[in-house]
Amino acid sequence: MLALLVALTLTADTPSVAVVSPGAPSLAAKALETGGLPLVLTSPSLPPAGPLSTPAPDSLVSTARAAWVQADFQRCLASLADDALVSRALEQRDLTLAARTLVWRVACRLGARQEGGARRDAEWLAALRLPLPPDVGAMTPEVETLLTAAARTIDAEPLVPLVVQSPIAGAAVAFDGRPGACIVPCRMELRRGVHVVEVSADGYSPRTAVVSVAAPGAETSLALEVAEPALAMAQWAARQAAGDEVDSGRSARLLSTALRAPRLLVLTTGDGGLVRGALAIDGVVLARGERDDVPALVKDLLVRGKVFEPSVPLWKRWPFWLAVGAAVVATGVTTGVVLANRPVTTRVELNP
Amino acid sequence: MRGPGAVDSAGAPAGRTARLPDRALPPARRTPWASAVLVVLAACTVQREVSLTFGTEGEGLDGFMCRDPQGQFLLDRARDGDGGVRPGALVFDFVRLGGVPGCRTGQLVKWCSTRECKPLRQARACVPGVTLPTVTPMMKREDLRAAVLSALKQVRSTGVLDDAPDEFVIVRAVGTLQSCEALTAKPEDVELPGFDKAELLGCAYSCPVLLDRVDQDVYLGFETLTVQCEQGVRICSDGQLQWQP
Repeated sequence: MLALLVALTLTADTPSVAVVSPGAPSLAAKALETGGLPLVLTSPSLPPAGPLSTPAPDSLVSTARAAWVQADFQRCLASLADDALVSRALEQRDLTLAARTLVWRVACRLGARQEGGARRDAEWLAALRLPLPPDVGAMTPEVETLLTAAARTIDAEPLVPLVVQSPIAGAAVAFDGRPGACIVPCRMELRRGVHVVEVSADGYSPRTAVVSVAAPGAETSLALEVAEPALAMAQWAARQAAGDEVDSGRSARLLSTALRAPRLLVLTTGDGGLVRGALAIDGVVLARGERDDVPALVKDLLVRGKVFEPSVPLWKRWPFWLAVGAAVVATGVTTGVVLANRPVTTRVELNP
Repeated sequence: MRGPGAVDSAGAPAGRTARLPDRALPPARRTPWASAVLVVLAACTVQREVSLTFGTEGEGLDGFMCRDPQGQFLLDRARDGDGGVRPGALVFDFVRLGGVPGCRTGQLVKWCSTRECKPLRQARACVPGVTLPTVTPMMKREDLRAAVLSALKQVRSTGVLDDAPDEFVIVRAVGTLQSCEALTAKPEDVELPGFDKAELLGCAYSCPVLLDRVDQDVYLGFETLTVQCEQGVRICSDGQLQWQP
């Protein structure tokens, strides 16, 4: 216990740098052998990747459909009454499920003589521009008529702009389950109605908001929270699967987030037997390098990343030049004094 | 041609460059250090030469042409009973003054009356076998001067001292019938032997001079207004440069 306390005390102010080398664990092991550093190198294990998203269950739609077939419209509506079912399906990019949910709600409401609610759901479906699912063929002609009429009504109305903001620069915005729409700050022309807006960024947990767009001037701002390690690893794995380099800036940032490591050194094998590395501080790559010697590469990156400063050579220190100057002056003065006071030997001769 | 017996207080020949005492360092260490110091000193030492002169025409030789109160030339003291001439010695002294007095005889005597004006023990040089001329009847003074000068030129280019004192001194040349052996200090002597007044042949001296700095020949002369200047010779050759009655 005492030894632990002493060790903790001694290392309390010593910065640490995490070293990872996904796919080449020997590189991290070599990096840990780097000596003469005023910091601690660690090699943490990468956390397991979690799922990027969980598929929305469609069992409620099946329940509603069965209730509708049995003309039990109340049970049908009860199964699908929650608007969150639609937004959740859109968050999961399951446009079909979102469309089926709304279509069956329209069918159930018409069966229950709730024409107003049915029209509202039909217009929501139209506003989301979701394709009509094949389920429509199993419904009454009234349902299809209402859906078509609502679509015509919404289509006839002018688009309404919606501005989406986020403090996370470069965050991507998805509208109604369709990703890649734009980058914040984002202005998008949408059909009047309720829309599902999602803002996402690497290293952050995506956030979704249901926004009612009725008139110009609508604006929403979504702040994101740092992703959990499992999510960050899932994002990193997805980027790797898409061809991202292990030592790219995005990869280093995601690994820093996943490992909760503000100082991260990412190593990977390069061309010709060289080792590539990148040093990320707070998720930002500050130094890159490629060498054949892992410890040398580690030192180089840490110095260039200003994690620590190498000892300044003697000739670069001002006291050295002050001493040299003083020595030169002293030597000059001494030489001058010696020359000015050189001993004289005078030989005396008789020369009458 | 230094005096054969001239030695300094450490037993080394006088006038040579000072050396570290042998006991200054242990034997194992002194050799390299002493060598290094000597090399440095030798490399930094300025070598100079200064000549002593009595003037181109011997105008400084008046002190070698003095008569005693009886009218006899001091040079005639060298005559022996057989009509021959005894050789004498020419002694050079470097007299420490302890300051820089004026050059005139009166100034020097006054200065030395209150101060110690002694020849430096280790700096005496003696040239033996110097035969100065005797005076013939009706000999003109200028001829005598030329003869004395000629005799002194026989010892021309004689090395008087290898290393002149680093202080103001007057250089004194004394002609005497005494031998160099008698005038050279022995190891047990505290002071230099004095001159026998009766054996003096002549004397000349310089102004106070710092030989390490002087840029000309050092002129030796004798200040007198009369040929009966034996008293001046005694003063000049005195161990204390004191007034001689």
